[in-house]
Amino acid sequence: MTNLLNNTTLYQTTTKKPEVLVPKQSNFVKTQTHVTNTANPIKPLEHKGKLLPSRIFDSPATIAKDFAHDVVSIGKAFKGKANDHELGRINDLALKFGSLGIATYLCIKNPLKLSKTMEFVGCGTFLAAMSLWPKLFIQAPLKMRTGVDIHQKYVDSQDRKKMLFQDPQYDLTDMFSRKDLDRMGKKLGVSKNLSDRDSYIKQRAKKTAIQGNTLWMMTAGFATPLASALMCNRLEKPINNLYEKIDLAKTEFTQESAGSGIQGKLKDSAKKIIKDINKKTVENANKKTANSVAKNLEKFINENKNNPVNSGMIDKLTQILTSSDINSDIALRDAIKADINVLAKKSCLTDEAVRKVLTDVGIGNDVTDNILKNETLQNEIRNGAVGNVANILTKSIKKGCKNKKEINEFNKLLKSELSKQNKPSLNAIAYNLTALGEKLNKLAGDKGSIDKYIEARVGDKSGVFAANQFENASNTLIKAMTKSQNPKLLNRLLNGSNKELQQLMNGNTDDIASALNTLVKDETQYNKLVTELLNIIEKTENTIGAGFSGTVDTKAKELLGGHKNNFMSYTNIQNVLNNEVKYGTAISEITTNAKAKATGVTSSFYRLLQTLDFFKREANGSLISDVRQHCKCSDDDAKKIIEAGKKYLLDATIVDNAERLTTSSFNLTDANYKNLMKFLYDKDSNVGNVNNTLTNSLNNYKDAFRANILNWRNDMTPGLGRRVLDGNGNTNPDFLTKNALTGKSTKSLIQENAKKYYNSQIWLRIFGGSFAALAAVTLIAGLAIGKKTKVEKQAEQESKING
Amino acid sequence: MANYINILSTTPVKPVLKQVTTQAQAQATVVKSTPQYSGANVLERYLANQAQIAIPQVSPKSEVSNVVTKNNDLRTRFNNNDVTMMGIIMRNFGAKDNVGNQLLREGDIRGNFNNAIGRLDELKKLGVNTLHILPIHPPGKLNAFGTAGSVYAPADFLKVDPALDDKNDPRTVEEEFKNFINECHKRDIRVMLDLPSCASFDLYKERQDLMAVEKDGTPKTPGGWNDIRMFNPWKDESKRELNPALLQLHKDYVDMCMDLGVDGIRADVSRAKPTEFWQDVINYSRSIDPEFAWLAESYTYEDASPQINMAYDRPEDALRAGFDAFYGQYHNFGEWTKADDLTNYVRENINMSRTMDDKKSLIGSFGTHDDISIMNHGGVTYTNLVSGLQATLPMLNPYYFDGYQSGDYYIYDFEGQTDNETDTDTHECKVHHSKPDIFNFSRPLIGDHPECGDFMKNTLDVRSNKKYHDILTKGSFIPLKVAEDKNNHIIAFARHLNGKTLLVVANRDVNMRQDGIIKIPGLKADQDLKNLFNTYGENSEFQVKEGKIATDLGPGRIHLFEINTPYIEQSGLEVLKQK
Repeated sequence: MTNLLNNTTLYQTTTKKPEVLVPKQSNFVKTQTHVTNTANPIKPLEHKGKLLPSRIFDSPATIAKDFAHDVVSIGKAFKGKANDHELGRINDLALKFGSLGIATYLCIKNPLKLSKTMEFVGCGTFLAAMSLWPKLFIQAPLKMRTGVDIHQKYVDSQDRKKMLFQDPQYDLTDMFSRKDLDRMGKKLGVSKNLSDRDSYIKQRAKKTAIQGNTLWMMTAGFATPLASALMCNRLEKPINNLYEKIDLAKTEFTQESAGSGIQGKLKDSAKKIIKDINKKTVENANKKTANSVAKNLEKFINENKNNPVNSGMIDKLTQILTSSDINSDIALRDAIKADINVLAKKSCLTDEAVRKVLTDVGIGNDVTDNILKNETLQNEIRNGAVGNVANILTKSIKKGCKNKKEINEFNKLLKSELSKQNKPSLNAIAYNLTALGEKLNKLAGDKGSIDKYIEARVGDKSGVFAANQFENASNTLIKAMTKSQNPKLLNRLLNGSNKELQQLMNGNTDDIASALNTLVKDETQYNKLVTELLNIIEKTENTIGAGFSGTVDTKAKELLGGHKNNFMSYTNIQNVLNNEVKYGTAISEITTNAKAKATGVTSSFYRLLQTLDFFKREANGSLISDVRQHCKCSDDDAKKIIEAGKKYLLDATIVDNAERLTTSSFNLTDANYKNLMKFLYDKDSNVGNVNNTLTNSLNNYKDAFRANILNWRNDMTPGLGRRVLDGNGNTNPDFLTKNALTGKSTKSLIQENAKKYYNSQIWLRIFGGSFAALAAVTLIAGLAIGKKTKVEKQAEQESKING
Repeated sequence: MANYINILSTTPVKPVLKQVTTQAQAQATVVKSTPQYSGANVLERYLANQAQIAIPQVSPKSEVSNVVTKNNDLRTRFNNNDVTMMGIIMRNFGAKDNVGNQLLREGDIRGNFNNAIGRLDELKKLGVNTLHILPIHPPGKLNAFGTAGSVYAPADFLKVDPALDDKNDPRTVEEEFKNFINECHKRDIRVMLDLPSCASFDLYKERQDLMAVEKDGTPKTPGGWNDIRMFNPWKDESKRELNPALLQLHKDYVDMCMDLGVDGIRADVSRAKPTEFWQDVINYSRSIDPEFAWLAESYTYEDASPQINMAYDRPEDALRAGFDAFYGQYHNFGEWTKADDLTNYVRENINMSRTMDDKKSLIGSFGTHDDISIMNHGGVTYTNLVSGLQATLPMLNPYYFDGYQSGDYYIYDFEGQTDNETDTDTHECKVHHSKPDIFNFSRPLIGDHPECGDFMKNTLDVRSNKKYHDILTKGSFIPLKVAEDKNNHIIAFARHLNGKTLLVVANRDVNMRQDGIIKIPGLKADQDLKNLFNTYGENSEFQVKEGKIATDLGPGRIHLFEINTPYIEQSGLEVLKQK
């Protein structure tokens, strides 16, 4: 016999079957029975390994230790000295690194910050799902029911961490304590009277572990991707919100706004971190821009330094120097171009020119080098001040002159020679251009920080604050509408809300109106919806309400205004910065754009509230009397106003407003249009049978809206479109503000997001349903694990009898 | 040490069916009678011829005695590292493969106790003083391995395999075995019998009360060995109550060994039974013969057994239960990658010995019947390196398996083939590749490299030399540091006793020369180095300096020098002393 494992069993059946040897009485069998007589039996020594406590998550210390072990294993593997255990660990590590590598690759390929992050989240959830699935759905239930921890870990005699039941034939059950065996025996239902009970318990524990691990292997392939996808789905929103908060905090102007908005809610430590991030972000932005401008400038000058300056070169220089954010300001851009024109035509001296003149009069290079170190002389050279340069040089070199006359003659000679060298050249103006570039970079950097502030709040891209609030409001509304349409949860789960969602996605205004009618009649859903929407609106107002545009205005003036005196050498730029009208365009453009975007968001939400209120009042029957009373019109007109009002709130765009709802789709008379506007926006028109919170909110809405909307429509009507662009082809700031007041239509708000919501719901139903089914099957299958077979029951019974 | 005579009184004597004479007498008779049968009397000639055929090869009846002489000191020998053991398979030990097809069939002579005697002097000359006889019981025939059945699949523990009987000898096979043991004892060779760990399938069917089964009645089969079934050592493991029937069988086995004159038992897969079991059986044997020795086939600490249905291996437990020696891990020497691995292993064992109440030791299990021929690790060079280590390592009793002395690769042409003739239920001539055949009647284990035996004899001669014997068997073990040995291939240690030092220097790399500087505190620059072992392979070079030896060693070379460093134990080096 041997302990070697490689000896394979090979049993060949043969036709010849020898008989079993007939037992014979051995010569050596004695009649006397030996009596066991060992007074102090020697027990086996304790196992050198130890069981580890079971945890769902390992402690950081354990993770670090395991990682160190993995690193050592890799080292051994590369040397070709790793054993099976170490190679196994490398496999696990390779899986993790491989997943991370794929995530990194996909992250690089993905342009959006959230998408980039989600690649790593996907990697993390995949690994987490792989680990958590067996723990939560197999290991924990089985341990509760049978007392057997199928993932029991232990540290072996050589300090290696392993799974106790990893290899079914590798029997480590002698590591179980008396307490462990009793606990398992009790839960496994092993009779206390059973003979050789411990062995049987160990046998059942092993069997349970094998079955449990088999179930794990059978389900992990399905469960891991499903659970990973579901975890990703659930994490996407919180991560997006986190990014939103970070972006808001990063771009915040820390000095003024500390204590307000999101930053005010953060703890001091978080503030400091964010402040540092903010500082570095701005610094990096400036550095990047500066590097880019400086590099391009240097390259251009090197390529053209010996060429005479022409208009093409000036255009190119302008382009280089306005390549950063500053180029959005037309007035400033023009001023830069004008100043470059001036600089380019200005005559200048250079060090080389001075050196040539001095060489010609017999001054050696050593003396010249020394003289050129004079800073005053350098300024005069850059400014092309021939007389001043000649005077400084004369003063420095006059020792060689015998008398005053000779000094004067020398001075005249220098002036004459220097004048010949004093001419416009790219090389000569390079110094001034570089200085201008640096100043413009600083200006661009400051403007960039304002832009970032605005971008993080009302930027036109997914994931920023405003877009998130739109999505929140939209989802909240869609959810409420589908719930009111299909109130039974089970129906929604089984049948989904496909029909209702598809109606919202593809339906016309009447379909949306119909769904809203149903919603407002459902008190529960309606009140819940209004409350949730008001929370979203409150959050929105706190971030991009009145304080937002004020901050933008103040900061724009402060930061950009700070550059006023930095451009004293550049007349045109200085004029723009000093000119409130010209420079104001730069600042007001920033402010107006930001304000318009913020107003667009809040107005959309106000409009949504107005829509809900309108439909609610119609549903409870109070609307017609309110309209009639407020507009002092007939029932017939009131009905027309209400129908048009519903459509207006749901669907109207800026064009509809401009046309006073006279088109065929509205078909309102001018009088009824005015009445509708009066009813919707007059101060007292909304006092009706609606809840107080909504009423207050609507009153706020009116305050903000009323001041502008009617005048604006009056302005717009005579010449539709004329005011969209100004004389220079730029968007009219005034138009932007008023357009924004119209807000997004409720229908758009719903339909823009319904498709996404629909897809998300379908996906969630398929994946969630599949996962739920798999979890249920696994849990049910788990109930069959660890049970006694008939044969075992019979054997146990016999054993009890015999025992 | 016990000296006693064991009286065998129960063995019935076979009736004498024919006149038995000594071989010499028979030959004389034939010579004398030749003229009488000259051509005429065919019947007489026929009878004379029959008489000649019937002559036993050895041991005439008149020399058979029921008294087995014993002067057992095997346990003491183990305790003093004085055992030099060779494992043999009785089926083939004295066999002759006349036909030359390696399977012993018609025309060949199978091994038996009688023809084995003829090889005892050969072993004695080599330096062997103890035999490990692999199991000699009738093998099971069902689910068998090989055409003879595995020697480790006994159908009856208390019988001697009739196949080992010399058919020409009127004595019982047990008597022949006793005679063989007597012949061993005459040559001062002790005999250790191998006690199988499991039952054959035949025995399993017969004695279910002994067997381990699952709760559903499925018998437990040790992984990889489908021809045998596990015993159940427990009546109730939870209460650690032993199986009395199995205990009884093992005590009967001890009785049988005592009757046969066996000096000790090598317990196959000792981990298959718990400490309490062995404690009981061993104590029982010692109550009869305090010098009765026990060797555990136990290798190293295992957290769990990698073999299904097999208990974990824990040598320390086996020794605590009463075993005198264990196998250890020297069979892994070829796999170890550094010289330090060897040093560490020696250190581990010596340290363990010091935790024991009694003296314990290992055997030099570099190549047992369970291992592939050590010739595969590097031919004669590696074999010689192992011989040198066996003779010089501490806490070690040299162990060789038959065929080692002639460099047998244990390759069988019939491996995996079938044969019409079989004693079992299979015709497949199963063997474990490059391991001694324990499943068939096959050729004796004789290789083509007798030089292996020459060097083995040389090393054992040195070991038994009075001048060095005590140093090598009782001396301390002092690992020496080797500088500039970048591959860590140079083995260097000192054995020291009573001011005398032996220095062992070896290159574990059998393919490449290795150089380094061995630091030996107290070594004088004028130390003369005279290798006590014979030379083989490439020569090594040594340059002695004050406190060190610079060396460039030939591949696989081992050297033993006597050096004058009387105070080496006080030099600050690590000194390890076996208990």
